[in-house]
Parts: sequence; C-alpha cells; structure tokens
Amino acid sequence: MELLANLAQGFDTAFTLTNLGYCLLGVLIGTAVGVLPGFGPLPAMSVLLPFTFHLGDPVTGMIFMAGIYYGTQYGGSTTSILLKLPGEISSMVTVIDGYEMTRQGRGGAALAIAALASFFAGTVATLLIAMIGAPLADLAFLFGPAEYTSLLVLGLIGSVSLSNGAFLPGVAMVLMGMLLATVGTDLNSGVERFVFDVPDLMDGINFGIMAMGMIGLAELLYTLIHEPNHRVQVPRLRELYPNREETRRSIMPTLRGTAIGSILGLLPGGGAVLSSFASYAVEKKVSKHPQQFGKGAVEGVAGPESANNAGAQTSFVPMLSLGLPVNPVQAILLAVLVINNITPGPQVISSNGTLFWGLIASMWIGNLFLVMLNLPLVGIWTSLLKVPKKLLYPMIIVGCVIGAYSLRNNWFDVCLLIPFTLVGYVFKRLGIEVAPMAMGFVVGSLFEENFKRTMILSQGSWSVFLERPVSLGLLSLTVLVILAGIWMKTKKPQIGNTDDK
Amino acid sequence: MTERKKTVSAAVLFLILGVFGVLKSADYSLGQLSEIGPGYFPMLISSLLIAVAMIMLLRK
Repeated sequence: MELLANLAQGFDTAFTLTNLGYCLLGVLIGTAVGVLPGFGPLPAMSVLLPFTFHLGDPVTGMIFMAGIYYGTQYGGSTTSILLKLPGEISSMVTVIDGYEMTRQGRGGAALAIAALASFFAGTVATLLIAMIGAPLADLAFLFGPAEYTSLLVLGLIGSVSLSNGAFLPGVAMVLMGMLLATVGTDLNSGVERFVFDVPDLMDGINFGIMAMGMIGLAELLYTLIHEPNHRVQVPRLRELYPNREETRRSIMPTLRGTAIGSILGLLPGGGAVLSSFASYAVEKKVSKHPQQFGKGAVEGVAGPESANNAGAQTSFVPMLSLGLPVNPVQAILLAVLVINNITPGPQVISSNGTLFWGLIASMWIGNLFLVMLNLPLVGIWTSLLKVPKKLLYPMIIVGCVIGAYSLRNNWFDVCLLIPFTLVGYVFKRLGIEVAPMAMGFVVGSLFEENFKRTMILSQGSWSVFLERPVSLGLLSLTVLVILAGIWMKTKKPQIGNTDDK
Repeated sequence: MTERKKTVSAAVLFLILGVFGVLKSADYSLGQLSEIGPGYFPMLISSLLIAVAMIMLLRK
C-alpha cells in the first residue's frame, strides 16, 4: 500500500539524529510551557519562530514547533490534575475531575490515564492525518482562486467565530493583520505601500517580529504587571497507577474523545480547546452516573485529554494539505513554511513529500516521547513552577531580542518588537484576543493574491463568488459557522484571556 | 474599565487605523476591479475595518 511506503519514508526522515533531537527538545519545551500557567503554546512558538529559520531543514523546524504544540497538551494536564492550575485552556476541563481525583489520593492514576489517553489519541490522529492528508490535497487541486478565497474567508471568520473572544473585535483584529501584511513593496506593481520612506520596511514586516512582540512579549508584560506573584504548593503522589475499574471506565471516553477531537480539530477555529470542552460535555451526557462528574469521575479526565490531543494533531491537516490555518497555532506553523520558502497549499504534500511524511512520523514519535517522559518526570515538571519569574522572564526577553535580530541582522526589527509588544498589551487590557491578528497577517498576502486572480478571471465581477458552487458552499458554511459561534457564545461564559488552541 | 468602555476604546482604535488606512490607500492607484491596483486591497480592508468599528460603536 502506498500509505505504508510513505509512512516508511516518513519514519526514515524522522529518525535522523537531528530530527529526533529536535523532536525531543520540542516536546520537552512544550511540556514545560504547558506546565507553566499563562505562557502557552502560541507565545512559546512565537518566541522560538526565528530559531527555526536557522535550523537549515524546514522539516526540522516543523518537527520542533509541532513538538512544542502537542507537548503543551501533555504538560497542561499535569498541573491541572495535581494543582488545580490549568497550564493551558484546553486543560481547564481536566481540572474539574482531575483535581478531585488528586484530592482523593488518585492523582497518580489520573496522570497516568491522561497520559495514556493522550497517547492513544495521538496515535490515532497521526494515522488519520496520514490517511486523509494527501486525498484532501488532491481535492484542493480542483479549487480555483475564487474557491480558495472563499476557503480563506471561511477559515478566518470561522476561527474567530468559534474562538474565545468576542466576534466583532476578532474580525477587526483579522482585518488589522491583513492590513499590516500589505506593508512593504507590492510584488505586482512595485509600489511601496505604507512604507513611509523607511527602507527597512520595504520588504514588509516580518511575521516573527509581530508574533514575538504581540503574542509573546505582550503576554509577559501583562503577567508582570498584573499577576506578579504565584506561589504553588506541590502535593506528594502516593502511587502512579490506575486501578482496574478506573482503567475500564476510561476506555470508552478515550475512544469517544479521540473521535470528537479528530473531527473538531479539522474545523476552522477547532483544535485542542474546542475538542476538550466538547468531550467533557459528551461524557457527562452519556454517563450512567452523571452526578459523579465534578467529584472525580475518571471519564472527565480520559475523554477531554484524548480529545485535546486528537484535536491538536488533526488541526495540522487543513494547514498541510490546503494551506489553510484553522487556528493561530497553525498560522505560526504556516509561517515556518513560508520562512523556509515553501509556499503552503495543496502542492506541499506532493512537492515536499519528505516534509509531510517526516512530520507525521515525528508526531507519533513525539507522542511516544511524551508518554514515556511525563509520568516518571512528574516531579521535575511540577517543580518547574517554583522557578521565580524574575529568572524566567528576562531569559525569554533576551531570547526574543536574539531571535528578532537573527532574522535579518537588522536592529530595526528588534526595535519593532517594542511597538508590537505595546499594541499586544493594550489589546489584552481591552480584553481582545490578539491571535486573530496573527492569522490575518499570515493569510493576508495569500488572500490578496487569490482575490486579485479571481477578479482578473471574472473580469471584475463580484458575483463569481456566489456563482461557482464550491465557493458558494464555502461561503454558506461561513454563515453557518458565524451563527454557530453566536449560539455558542451565549451558552458558554468567557474563559480568560489566553489565545492558544 | 467597564465592558462598554473597553469596547468603545477598541472600536475607536480600529476606527483610527481604518481611516488612516483608507486615506493612505488612496495614494496608491486603485485601478478597476478587473485590473486591481496596489491600493485596492488595503482600501477594502480598511473600509471593512471602519465598518466593524462603527458596528461596535453603534451596538448595545
């Protein structure tokens, strides 16, 4: 079967010493980031983005970044369960029953279940990506510029609609991101847009700078100013293994969670967060003893934990096969491709086969690393929380400065971090998610390109978007997603101010 | 800051940026729809931004 041949090639790529090393490094960093509250995968990936530029091989960069992302899903569960401290929003649901299990002395069991459920979900999701990635890309070849434009609209609006923040500000942020993307010399006409005679702006604003400033440093600034102190008490673990009943009860929730996460991860706005919440709701509904939820029901840990891992991984599919980022994290991964001169889109799989399959193989390897590392090293992860911020944060800042400079050997870029940090901070204070702006930025030039082409082909007719059936379908889906988002927001209360998915 | 104040502040920020965008985009040739110039897209985005800002201000 061709699939096996491809996977074999993938493992070949993933098993090089470099790629294994960066996979391990990525998941370690990811777990650490997941453990630390506040700093999520998005800021961490933003800060490390310039670093991927210097790794040489784009596969390595992707493996590294991907490792960080699904690593945070594992790490976040640890603190949720042990300390009632969700390291990530997607782990928030795990707190509910996970912490209760700890209080009942079953913390070790909860951790084990979480890790195993996550590993199962990760394995299944990896297989899924392998199976549908290429066929989906083939489908996309049928897309013309009009369809692509509509797809991007669906992606952008969808991710805003189903995300944490309010809808209108989110849309505005996307638009701002797209506007910022126009800064620089327009490739088609040679006209310098919004450059104001600043030569350093002629090539446009580097995404890494925007991401590091607005997402990473702004988060840091905000925490420094508003949440300076956070002392944590780490409990002792009596035993690390689940008993027979807990294991038995976890099987179906894990299967369901994996299914839910795999599907929801594919949708715009989807990913780990949506999946974990959905899984918790489902588990509660189908349980024979729903009153146990909130009091240490192991289903409330197994389900969401598998869902968030499945969701995190399948969210790679639209990005890899269509070039469509469904959430801000995927936007950053897209940026990694762009930085390495790979144009995202359906052709990525066929022309960069080693990248695609290598990444998939390494995702499974990463999951393996994580399940092996998380349990024995629990003590280390929790003691990470004791590292004082005044040690950690300057390191991050220095990292950003170095990263920013390394992009173009240009101080201007480093200085540009400052306004972006301030902007990010201001918006955080106003309660607005900054991540959609990053999405708009990454997608901006792609959007403009496709929009222009559509107009040229249709000779200036706007109706082409509604006349072509696929395009019409995608736009109708967008309307549905907007409605779904409105409905969802009336049901679910706002959940804090972090932007990772 | 109250919710309303936050929304208004944000909307004002968007409005300012949008207006700035529209004004600046006009400097770059817009072209026609069938032959889009460099200013068209930024103008479009900026106008949408203004629209969103206005909706945010006028709601509630």
